[in-house]
Amino acid sequence: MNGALKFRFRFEKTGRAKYLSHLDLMRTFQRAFIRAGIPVKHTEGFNPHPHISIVLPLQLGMESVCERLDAEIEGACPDMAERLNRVLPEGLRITEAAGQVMKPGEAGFARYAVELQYDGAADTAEKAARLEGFLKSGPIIISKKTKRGLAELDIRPHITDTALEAEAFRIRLTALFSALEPAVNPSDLISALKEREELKPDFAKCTRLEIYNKNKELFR
Amino acid sequence: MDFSQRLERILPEVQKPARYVGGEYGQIIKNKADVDVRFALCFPDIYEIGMSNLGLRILYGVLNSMNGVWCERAFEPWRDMAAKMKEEGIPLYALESGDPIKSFDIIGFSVGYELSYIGMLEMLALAGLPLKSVDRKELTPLVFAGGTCMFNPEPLADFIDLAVIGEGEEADAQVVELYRMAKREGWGKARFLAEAAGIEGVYVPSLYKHKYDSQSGVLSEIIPAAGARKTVAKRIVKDLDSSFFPVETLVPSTEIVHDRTVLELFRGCIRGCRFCQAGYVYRPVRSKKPETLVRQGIEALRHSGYEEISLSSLSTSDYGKLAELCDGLLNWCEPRKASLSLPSLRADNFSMELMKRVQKVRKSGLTFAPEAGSQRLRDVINKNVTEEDILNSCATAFEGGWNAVKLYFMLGLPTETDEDVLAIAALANKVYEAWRKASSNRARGVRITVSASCFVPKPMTPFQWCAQNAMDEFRRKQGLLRQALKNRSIVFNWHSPETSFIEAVLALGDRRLGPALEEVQKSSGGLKAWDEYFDFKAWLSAFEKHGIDPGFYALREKGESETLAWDTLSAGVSKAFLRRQYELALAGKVSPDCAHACLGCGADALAGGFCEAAAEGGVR
Repeated sequence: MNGALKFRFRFEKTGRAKYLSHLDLMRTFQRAFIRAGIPVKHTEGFNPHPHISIVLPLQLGMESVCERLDAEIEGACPDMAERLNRVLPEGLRITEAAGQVMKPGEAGFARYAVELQYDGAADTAEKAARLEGFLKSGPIIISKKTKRGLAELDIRPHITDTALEAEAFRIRLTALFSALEPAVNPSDLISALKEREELKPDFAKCTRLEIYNKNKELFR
Repeated sequence: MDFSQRLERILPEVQKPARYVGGEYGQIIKNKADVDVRFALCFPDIYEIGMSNLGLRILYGVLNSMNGVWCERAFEPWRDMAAKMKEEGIPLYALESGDPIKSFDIIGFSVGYELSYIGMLEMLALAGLPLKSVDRKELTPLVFAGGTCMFNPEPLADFIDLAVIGEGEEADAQVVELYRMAKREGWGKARFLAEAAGIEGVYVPSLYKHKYDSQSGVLSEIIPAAGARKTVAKRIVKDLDSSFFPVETLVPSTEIVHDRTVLELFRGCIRGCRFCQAGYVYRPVRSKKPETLVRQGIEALRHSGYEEISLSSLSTSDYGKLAELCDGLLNWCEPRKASLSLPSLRADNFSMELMKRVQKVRKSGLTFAPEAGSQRLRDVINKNVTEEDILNSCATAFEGGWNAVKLYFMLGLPTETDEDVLAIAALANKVYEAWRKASSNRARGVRITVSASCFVPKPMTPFQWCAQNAMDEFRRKQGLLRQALKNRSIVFNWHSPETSFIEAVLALGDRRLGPALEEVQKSSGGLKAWDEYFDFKAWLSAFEKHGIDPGFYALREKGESETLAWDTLSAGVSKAFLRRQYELALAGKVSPDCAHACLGCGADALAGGFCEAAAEGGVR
């Protein structure tokens, strides 16, 4: 079909919306586009569905301020972000509508903020020092599901650019995680921490802060 | 740690947490400072089921349209979530605000299925409220119930403060207004209930004393308290065109069972199938004009972003202007790639033509409900469909390329013999033969599904006096049928007799069941409509512990002059009419539908003596 334009929407997924699964999110956006009166191109074939996709699907339960949704729109359509924001459920908010510069497969890294909660530790300075050591020395081996079954992986080299902040009852960690080959998630790090009595958090909250390409340039 | 932090910690550990957080598009959030009545609209099953219920969406809209009233939703959590909530001391909360419903003004349950009674008790327990009405001494929170099951609310009499009988959109609002006045003026609970009993359609069980014959255990007398009405007639909405319809409705973000826009064409039914509770308790027939429906359908689709619209009624083929309605909707839907679906069609040619028109692309399965295998038994139940109708419709469908048909039957209908049971297999085989003759593509094969449920006699129907078949008898008949269905293209499904037995006990039960229901909730938890948690043993041991013979309710034919547990209530159809229909059934005689002759059921009185079916010769 002629006239379809490829757009990349940047959006936030916060608050209650963090519990939406990838499929929930796709369904929600499909309907939001209809409500907003923005014509999304449909796939051809027996059971046509709208051409939308999420660049780097986020794990259920995580928040994000930097999600990317690609959609093909039929014809020009002004004020798309505003129109969508009027009809999106709580916690989903478009912050930018732009063209697609990079291919979805080029997304290579993502920065996350991880809040590790330690209910019993009014002072977490010592824990933070230990955590820093843990992140810098030796391998961090986890079992990861692959197509060929469980495989051992050292995630340490794939978590870089780390920064730590010790607060009462919590440590805030930000780090750059490899998003592709291998895809390492904060949840992998958290499960590794759960294996160590002194670093095991009572709860952990994650927020995705930014997505980059393989050269660590902003994903556009 | 506060409530929301504790909740945040358990949500990642349960299945499908999206159903426990609210926040969907279209939810109503109000400023608490502007609200003086907090209403928890509760559905005693999981989110995916409850959010598929049109009645719940209507009430949500009606209540939230009232100034100062904030209606929020609560559903029954799945087992994993219920266990975590108990473990962490998180009480049942409303989805919109996250506030515990225990502190709400009014808790209203929508109850449409007997097996969800336990879910209702489970929700009260999770909320941290006493289950029994007498143990909730204050006016607040008021706990009441509505929905189809309230045509016999007696098994719940110990637990609810009041029941709304019939359609709730006007009566619920009146209950809320009266409550608001009671709260403002500081009434006690007893005074409120006495006043509420004056609202049309409101039944307060505690105002009625049930006396039993000490020998037989049969209900001998119902004694209303001073000032309480002898009969409580159900409420109806007289004019559906002007009644509230939620065009701006909630759109769940997570998948639910019926995830589409639903239009209600009419309430009531002209057919008079004698087993069908809905066919009697929703009389008289009241329809919406096609122009109202087209407008509401388009608005609802546009507002929700749904790409499917479904027409709902008890018998869609009876809607007089169905073709006009479908055209109006299709004109809008087709260019926008939205689809229209038509459940509840009858097996006639007109309906088949319509099916072909609306299902241009996908040919999903067709469903017919002959209910009984033989013409004799179909006459008994007044299901006025012939074998010829069914076979012709199937042939038309097979010619048109359909290759899957579902046939629904019931076992254990009154007067059923083994011949009638075997006639089900014979009919299924004839449908197979029809496919062989008519199929445009025999290489693709055919799939004929025969589903046989176990008949449950329901209150306010001509079969309310009937005894249900014993479970062993159901099993024997299922075996008989299974043996007769040898064709590999025919798949046989059957229902569990245990579930149907408990359904009958609850449907036909009285207030003596209360302690057993409480026992089942305590020993076995909710979600009883789900096979994995139904737990037949828990039911039996609860009945035994409380000296209840469940067969007394389900398996005993009731006497013509017997006082029935639901005799205080009226759906507008007279008991004498139902009895006459029962006698005709036993004689194997059919009755004409309401479009052809008015049989004087009495329901027109609810609409000031007017009945659309009689006045217009059908559904207009």
